[in-house]
Amino acid sequence: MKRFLTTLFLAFTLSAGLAAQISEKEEEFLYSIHAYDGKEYKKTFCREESSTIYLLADDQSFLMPRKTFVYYDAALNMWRIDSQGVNEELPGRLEVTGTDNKVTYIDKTVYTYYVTPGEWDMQWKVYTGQKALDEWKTFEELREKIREEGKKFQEEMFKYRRWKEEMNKKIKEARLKGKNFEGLVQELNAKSPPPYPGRIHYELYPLEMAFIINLPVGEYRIRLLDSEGRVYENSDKKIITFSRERSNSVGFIYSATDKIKLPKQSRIPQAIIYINGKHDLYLRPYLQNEFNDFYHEKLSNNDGRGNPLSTKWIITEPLYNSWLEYHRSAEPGPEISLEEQFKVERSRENPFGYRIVYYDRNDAHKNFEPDFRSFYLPMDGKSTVIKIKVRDYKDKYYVSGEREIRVVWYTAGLVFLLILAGIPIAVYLFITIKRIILYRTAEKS
Amino acid sequence: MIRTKDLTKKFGGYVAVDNLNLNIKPGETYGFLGPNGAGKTTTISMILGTLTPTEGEIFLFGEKYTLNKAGLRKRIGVVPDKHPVGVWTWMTAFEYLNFFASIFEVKDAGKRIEFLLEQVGLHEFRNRRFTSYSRGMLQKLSIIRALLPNPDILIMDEPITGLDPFGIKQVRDLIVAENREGRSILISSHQLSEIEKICHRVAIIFRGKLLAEDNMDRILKTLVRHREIEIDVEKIPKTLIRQIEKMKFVNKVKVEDLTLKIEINDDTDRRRDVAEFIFKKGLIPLRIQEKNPSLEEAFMTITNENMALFTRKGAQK
Amino acid sequence: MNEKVRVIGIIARTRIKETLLNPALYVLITGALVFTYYSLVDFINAIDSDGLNLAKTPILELVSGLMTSFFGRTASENLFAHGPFLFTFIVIFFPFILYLSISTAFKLGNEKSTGACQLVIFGPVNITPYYLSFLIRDIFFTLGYIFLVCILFTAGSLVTNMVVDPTFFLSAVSSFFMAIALLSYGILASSLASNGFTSLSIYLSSVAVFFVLYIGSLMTISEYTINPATVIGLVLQVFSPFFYWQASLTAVEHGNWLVFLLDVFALVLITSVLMVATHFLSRIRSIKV
Repeated sequence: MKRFLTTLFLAFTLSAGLAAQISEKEEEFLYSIHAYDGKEYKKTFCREESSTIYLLADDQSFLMPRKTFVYYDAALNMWRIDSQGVNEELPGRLEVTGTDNKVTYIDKTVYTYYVTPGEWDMQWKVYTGQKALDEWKTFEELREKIREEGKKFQEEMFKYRRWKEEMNKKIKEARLKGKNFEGLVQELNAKSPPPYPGRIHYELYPLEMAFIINLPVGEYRIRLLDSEGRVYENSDKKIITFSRERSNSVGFIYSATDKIKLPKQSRIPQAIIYINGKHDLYLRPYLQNEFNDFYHEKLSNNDGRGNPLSTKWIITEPLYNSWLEYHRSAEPGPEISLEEQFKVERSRENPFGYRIVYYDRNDAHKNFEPDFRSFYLPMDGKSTVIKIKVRDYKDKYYVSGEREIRVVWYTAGLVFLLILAGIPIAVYLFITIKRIILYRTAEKS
Repeated sequence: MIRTKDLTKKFGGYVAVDNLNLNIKPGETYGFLGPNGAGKTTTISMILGTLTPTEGEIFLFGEKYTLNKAGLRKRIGVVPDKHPVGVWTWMTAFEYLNFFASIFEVKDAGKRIEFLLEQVGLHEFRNRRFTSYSRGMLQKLSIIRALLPNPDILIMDEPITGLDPFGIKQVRDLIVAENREGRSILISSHQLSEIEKICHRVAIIFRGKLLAEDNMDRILKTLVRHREIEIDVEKIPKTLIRQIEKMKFVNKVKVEDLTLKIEINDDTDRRRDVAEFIFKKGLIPLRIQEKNPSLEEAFMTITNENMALFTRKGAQK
Repeated sequence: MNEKVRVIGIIARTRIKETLLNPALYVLITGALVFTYYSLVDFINAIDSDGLNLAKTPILELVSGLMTSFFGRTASENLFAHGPFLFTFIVIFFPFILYLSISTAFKLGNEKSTGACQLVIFGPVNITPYYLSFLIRDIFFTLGYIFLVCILFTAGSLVTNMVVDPTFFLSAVSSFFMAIALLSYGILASSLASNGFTSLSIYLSSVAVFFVLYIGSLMTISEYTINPATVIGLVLQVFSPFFYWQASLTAVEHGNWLVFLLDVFALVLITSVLMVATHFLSRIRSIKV
């Protein structure tokens, strides 16, 4: 009984605690937003309380007005939607008024978008209207085709495995009986498994209806009108469209041999990369755009926080077709590193349990994908400064594609600072003693 | 040397100095008298350029003075009423004087400092931090500082306030000596006794207005109508009081324990007369002192009536 | 004019000597050197085979964590983008400037109330050169300190192979002008006050307002709200040396030299306006003998 009561008490306390974590759910008018952030599409929503929607200028973003439940989740420190109860998409036209009081009306359009997956590069494509319908149809057909191919592959694979088992059995029997089984082995090795079916390299999002917003930089007011021209309550919002502050700057993703799975970024142009020089580096340049921190944060999360005076760099795409020129201080001239593909292999000899090797498409790594692509930058143990520059195949250097890598280690020479620290005190003591002697002489006289 | 014409200073609605006309002549020691709040400091501040007059004009050494004519101020030595405390605490007296000598471009500064320090007996303390100086030493240091550029006129604000008798004498002697060398001196004070001993001419200011500007004797006659002699006697018979009251120069007699306080109605020193009279009565005066009223006290008696008196006198003159 | 310059020189020299006799100066320089040592050592300890790992040292982790949470990731990244020197400079520079400005505001106010400055202005100059002499002292020590720091950092960079970025020197230039503008506020405060404590209170209050506005402007926000307080804040920012200093740092980071020069010019303008205001205020308010 006592145990039961304790359990009951704990359950009650726990549930009460959890209940306190979220606010009461309230039905609200909101705009669901699919906003392009310069690299990819982000989903957020603009609540009744929020006055402004932030979008990238001259790029397509999507607004979907709806009525649904909204609540605050204290545990996650964010506002969330509960679309299980009410999720009413609101019909109508969107009235957009610019600062010049020019009014335009936008109707909902069907759209879809997809992303092509890669190493870490994301190419987003958006289709609207008839093109979206066509694209969706193509995707459905492709998905059906792949499904069929997959089914066929499964069947053939099943047959192949059964045949392989049979062959193994025959070889085993021949070996036990002392018969020659060379021919069987040759037959086994000669037959390849069925080829893998094709893959869809992208995932198309289901078709949706939304207002497509593609506005130049500026401030606008929007409101939703129903079929009779009446304005929906709480649909009046401000839209701020903003652009990149700097574009196509070069950033680097880099990692050292011993921390290959923990890459770091060097976003700020002209920033110094300090390393201890104990391991080789793998660098990958990318293009990046700079945005106002506050606007961009609000674009990604309408309830988020940002710094209006600050900026942030956003990766747009990897820098393909480029060379890395590096000049190690111990070497007389610059050297060139080409972008290579690498494979991470297990290795007991290495203290960190793996080794990085060049990807061998034809032989060792046949049927495997490379783990990463990068520019290899070996450490020579002598150079203390390595200057890197990225240039394209036409030998043109990329603006802000330079970095300085410095090898730094603790040196006892730094103690000179502590020794210097004593000098001001010594000077003060000297001056004070001199003054005291002056005063004392006077007092004695 | 210094002349003011209709000098007026208003702070909002309050008139601190009201149409003041002063004239300090070369070579004289000029007393500028008035109770606290009379407008003395405000007047001096305007002369020194730290306050801008609301109306009126100031003439320094015959030239009309404006704030931009800072060079004229260089010819004035100033001894403020208090020495700055808690600043320049690291300076020795010599360094302090040297600093001002540099500002005032004193030639042969080292020699002049040594000379002046010697003059006032501070030479042996020159390397001492002046923060350890006594009030009297500080006052002397302040006067030396003012004298460094050999000014044409020395303006002193309450120069003996807070000094012990020895210090008062030293400062007084210094002022007299400087005046004898032909330097004009303006002393602002509320202590009649000292002004009386030093000054040739006096200006009295009250509530911003100039009540009188005259020589010392005439001012005293106007201002001090009742003087008092205090005598300590071994015993005081009742008849003695009546007899003293009958003396022709006595106004009234008060008794406090064994002290007789005799109010005199003329300007003559009557201490000898009173002492001889008490001797004749077979009593021995133990202490006899003429009580000089301070200007502060004198001004306590200023009423509308005697203000009118001063005003009349001024008009007659 | 020459007379004024001469007197300013004399008073400034005395001021400089006075400051040199003050232990606070030496304590601050020693503190700066010790901090620089630990800052560099900490930074080196945080360097890994793959770059900076601030989490390796508690102090840098704390600093970057606070920076990120209050001002955003970019602010934290910018602070250490070229090494530890900018961070170290900010930490050791502000206490020094605070010391100088507090000393200026308090001493000037105190010297007015005790009658010390009157002794000088009874002489060949008005009070403006007296104020200017403080500015000269502050310029002298600020320049000296920045020069010392630059030499120190350069030496530190040579020993450690870390870089004192050229942009750091530009930041030091704008920091100098920011400091002078701040110190001018100390002088203005003393012209408004009649004694040291009032002067110090006025000065510290104004700096506190500017500092809060500055920190507020750097902090991440969730919404722009226009209300009387934000409007007042925006107006006050125009007078804040921190505002132009931050703008100049951003301009340096962006390589926008025109904006940098404009920001420096704004700081010089603030200083000039404050000194002119001090001049006229002291004429209006006058000084009691």
